[in-house]
This record gives sequence, C-alpha cells and structure tokens, in this order.
Amino acid sequence: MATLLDRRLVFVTGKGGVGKTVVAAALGLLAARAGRRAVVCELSGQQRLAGVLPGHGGGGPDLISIDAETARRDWLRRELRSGALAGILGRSRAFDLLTAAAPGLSELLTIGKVWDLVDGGEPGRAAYELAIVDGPSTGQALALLEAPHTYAGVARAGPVHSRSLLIEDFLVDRARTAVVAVALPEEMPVNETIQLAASLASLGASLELVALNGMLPRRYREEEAALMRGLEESLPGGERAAVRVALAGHERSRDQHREAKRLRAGVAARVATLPFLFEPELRMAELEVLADRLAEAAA
Amino acid sequence: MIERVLDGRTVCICAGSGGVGKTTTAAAIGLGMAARGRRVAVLTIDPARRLADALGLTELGNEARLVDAGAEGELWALTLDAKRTFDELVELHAPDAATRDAVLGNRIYQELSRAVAGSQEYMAMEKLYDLHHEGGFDLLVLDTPPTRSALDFLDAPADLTAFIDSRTFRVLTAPTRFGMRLFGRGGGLALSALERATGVRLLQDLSEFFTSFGTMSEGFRRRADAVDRLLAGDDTSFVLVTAPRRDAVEEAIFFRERLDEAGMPFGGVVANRVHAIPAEATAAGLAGPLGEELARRVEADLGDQRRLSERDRRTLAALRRLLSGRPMIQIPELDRDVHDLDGLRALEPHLFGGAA
Repeated sequence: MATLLDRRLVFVTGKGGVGKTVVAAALGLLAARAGRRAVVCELSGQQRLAGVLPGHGGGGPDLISIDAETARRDWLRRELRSGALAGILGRSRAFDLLTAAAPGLSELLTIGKVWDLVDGGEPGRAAYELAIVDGPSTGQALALLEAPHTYAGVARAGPVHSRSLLIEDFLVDRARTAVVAVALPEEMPVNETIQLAASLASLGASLELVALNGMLPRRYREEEAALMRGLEESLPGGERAAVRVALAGHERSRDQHREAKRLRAGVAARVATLPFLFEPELRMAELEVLADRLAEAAA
Repeated sequence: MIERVLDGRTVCICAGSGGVGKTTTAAAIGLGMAARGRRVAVLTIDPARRLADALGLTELGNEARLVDAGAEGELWALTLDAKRTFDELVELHAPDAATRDAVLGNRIYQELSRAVAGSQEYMAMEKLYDLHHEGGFDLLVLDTPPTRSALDFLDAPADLTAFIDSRTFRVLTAPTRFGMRLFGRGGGLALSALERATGVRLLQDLSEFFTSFGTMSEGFRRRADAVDRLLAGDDTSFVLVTAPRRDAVEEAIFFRERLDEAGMPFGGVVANRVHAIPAEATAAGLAGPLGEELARRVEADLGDQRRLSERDRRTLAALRRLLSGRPMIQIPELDRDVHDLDGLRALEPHLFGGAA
C-alpha cells in the first residue's frame, strides 16, 4: 500500500474543534519537505493557515482556499463555454437557489475543484501531485465525498455525469485518495470517528489514519497517584490543592488512554497520537512536533 | 448565575460554533431549571449518543419526552427531525390534499427540506415557535444546529421567506415560459445549456415546485415573520456558548456583534472547559511527603496548568470586553467527560452558582 503522502488526495475531517486545520497544515509541511508538489486546500473560507505555515518560498506547501461560490462560477464558465452566459447565471439569485436545490451539486463542484488540482482526468498535467484538504466536520465531509456518486445517479448523461464517475473512481481508489480523521481522546469524538469509519466503508472509501490529538502526558505511575491520594487530606492547603491538580490531570490522562484503546479497537485505520500542546500559540516549532509524529504514522 | 442570563425569559437559545459543548450546556440548563421546579423542554438537533440515551432520546421524533431526572419540576427533551417539521408545515399550509401531495412528492422540495443549508436551522426555529405558541412550558432551551457558521440560523427565517417570496413565485409560476421569465432571454438559453450539461430536468421540477408551493407562500411568510418576532422579542435570551479556543471565541465575538445588529437579546456567555487552578496551589512543601523527584514533577505539572490558565484567560479577554454588563459564566475543565445525567449535575454548581 502506498504511503499517505504518495496519494493524490488526503482528505482531513473530524468533529468541530478537534484540530483538523493543524493536522492538515502539519501534513502539508511533511509533503513539501518530502519534495512533493503539494497544496493545502481550505474549504472553510476562514484562511487560518496563512499565518502559520511558511509559504512556498519558505519550503512550505502552497495554500488555496476553495469556496462553493467560486467553484460554481468557474464551472459554469467552463460548461457553458461563454463568459457572458455564465455571468448572467452567476449573478442570478434564482440560480443560487437552483444550485442549492440540485441534489449534491454544490458539493460536487467543490470536490471537483480539488480533483482538478491533482488530476482533472490528466494527472500528468495537473498543477499538483498532492492536495491535502482541510475539510469540514464529518457530516459535511461525507456529503462532499458522496456527491459524485449521488450526482452520477441524478444526471443520467452529459459531461457532468461522466465527470462525476471519474471523480467517484478517484475518491474510492485507495491508491490515490486517503481520508484522515482527527479526533480527541474523549468519548464523543471517538464515537463519531468510529461512525465515520463505518460510513466511509459504505461509500467504498476507507479511513486511512486517525490523528488522535491532545494526548496529555502520563506524568505519574499508578502507585504514585495512590501515594498522593493517601496523603491528600493530611497536607496543608496549598500543597493539597497542588496534589488535587496533579490527581485530576492523572485521571484525565487515564480516561484518555482508555478512549484511545477503544478507538484502536473500533477502527481498522492506523492511529497516530499527537501530544497536547501547552504553548499559548501554535507556531512553527509546535507544528514541527506534530509533523514529526505524523511522519512516523504516514510512512 | 445562569438565572441572571435567563433573566426570567421563557426562551433560551444556546448558540456557538461546533465542539464547544452547546448540547451539554443546553441540557444542563434544562436539568438545573427543572430541579428548581420549572417545567422545561430542551430541543436538541444532533445529540451525542450517550447524552441522548441519558435524556431518553433514542430516536428522532418531534414529540417531547419526559426525562426521568428525579427533578422537582419536569424536564422534557426532544430531538428535532427537520424533515418531519417541514412536512408538518406543508400539511398545515396546504390548501388541499392534492397540493400537499404534489409538494411532498416533488424532488426539489425533498432536497430543500433535507439538504439545503438553512432549512434545518429554520425548522429548529419553527419548532421552537410552535412549542412557545402552545405555551405548555415555563422555559424552552434550544440547542442550535452545528452549522458551518453559528450564525446561519439567524438568517434562516429571512432566507426561507425570500425563497418563497411571492414576487419570486409570481415570476416562476408560468410553467411554459419558465426559463425565459426567470433569467431573461440570455438566461433562458444558459439554463437550457445547463440542463443539457447536467442532464437534470431541473426546469420541470422547479416549475412544478413553485406552482404548488406558491399557493402556500403567504402562510409560510407569516409564520417566518412570527418566528422573527419571537427571536427579537422580550421572551428570548441568547446564550453564547464558547470554549477558550481562538476560533470559538472569534466566532462568539462575531455572533455577539450580529445579535446587536439584528436587535436580538444577548443574555450572556457560557465558556466551557476553562482551565483554572487554585491560586494557592504550591508544590513547595511536597518534597518531604512525596520525595524530591515526584515533587518536582508535580511542580512542573502545576507550571503547565498555570500556563494553560493564563492562555485561556487571555483568549477569553476579547470576548469579556463585549459583555455589556451581561455575565460570563466559566465552567472549568472537569475531571470527567459529561455524557449522562450525573455529568450534567456536576455542571450545575458552576452554571447556577455555589461552586467551590
């Protein structure tokens, strides 16, 4: 099986607030360092990566932001082969509603734009070797990945139909596409990740890697925790508070390891653990730490 | 504290970006108010499974169910089925059975009610209005949908009204010349080119949809206006739920500003999972009882926790400046995840005051 960075598309998803953007950035950094012509695609329109990653000149990946509206306008221009006609439709409120009402069309156009970057039917002439998508949360991510299949069924003929089939093939081909889930070692994100793996399987796609983010350090052995618990009540106030802080952290870390174990049992994908970062801001140094951890798992 | 946020109002809307604990906060507010003797309904959209189990929400359904919470008052919960709510609205507004069936069976309608951004948000508001109107509860707590932007649902009633606006509908309800009327001459050409390209018979579906749906547009619009009035009125309080993460706080700030623009009542902020350590905590005298090496590790641990507390304080500071005298309730990072009634009860002292 090809390593993660030998694919053409790495699609990063996960529950809100788990660190998808950071993982996508770290993977982009790894790809650029491995000499791949790589681009990190932000779909959220938030453009949070520009401040974190070094640009192309600094040995980082390219960054691109894809929003549904631009994707739609580009597509119209191409399909209608007329800027004027596309302009009329692109400005029309009714057309907004129409694309919204056509099942899966917005999603198809967005994922199609990503596909164009690395394949477009002629992989040899594509702008990039690898696209890393900083994707939306799991439900919306599934809608994106499912769109070509849905649309191939809705549009029974014509260029959109054949394009949908090509993209669908691309997305379910493990040699070319990998899905990476980001999770936290907590009950709800772990459940959602296990469900995601099942949903991907039913699409014919597969979950390749789970980045388990925010793992707290295991600072104390069980007997040390027991010692602290035994002494807790006899300590003066300040020291008692300190020991309580330590014990609470110990409990959290133990819960995290239990959740990590449950995740490993629940998904076939590899699981890479990423350390909780205590630093106030995410900077290059922290990104490097995460990239190193991911490099081991991505090999 | 949360009672100051609610301010005696009967509708509480919990808003915030994904992953900040909106559902949990909504459920904890509901449980706490029920414990204070109120009759409360919590409306959730997509609760995590164990929390849903704890609330007895094992399936989607638009019927509220009584939670066995042993409270003095009553806690009811329901998980919103957006599609079902939309269907019910169609049934309510349809002039006759034929129109109703034509709309419910139309593919554009099915997509609109299921998949279009905003319809789930709108339906949440719709159900809220419905329950408020019936008047069976002292307090309604709404957990807003996990939208890409926490604000989408504010626009939802207006968006849907615009969609079914009768001016649009008048232009659209001439089936034979649909394309021409909709887009003008060039647009009509473009649209038929588009149909050829996509292979989808959108024109016919759309025109059918507007023909039958149009007869109901007045009813829908009156309803959307009423929902808008409820959101902006004296019965409602918006609670911004956030977490000490930069993206979540930025979203909350944006939301705070939008509430003012929209003239909607801001109740306060609930910040979840805030790191805080007691000021007096010190490892100074631990070397004796724990041994030097372990004491040093506890000291390093405290140092990390202090940095986290400081980071969270700074992250929340920008939001704190926008409170306009309303409270910000900070819920500390608890020792355990919250996913059952006991977990919700552990939140209560922090939400309602009286926490150590």
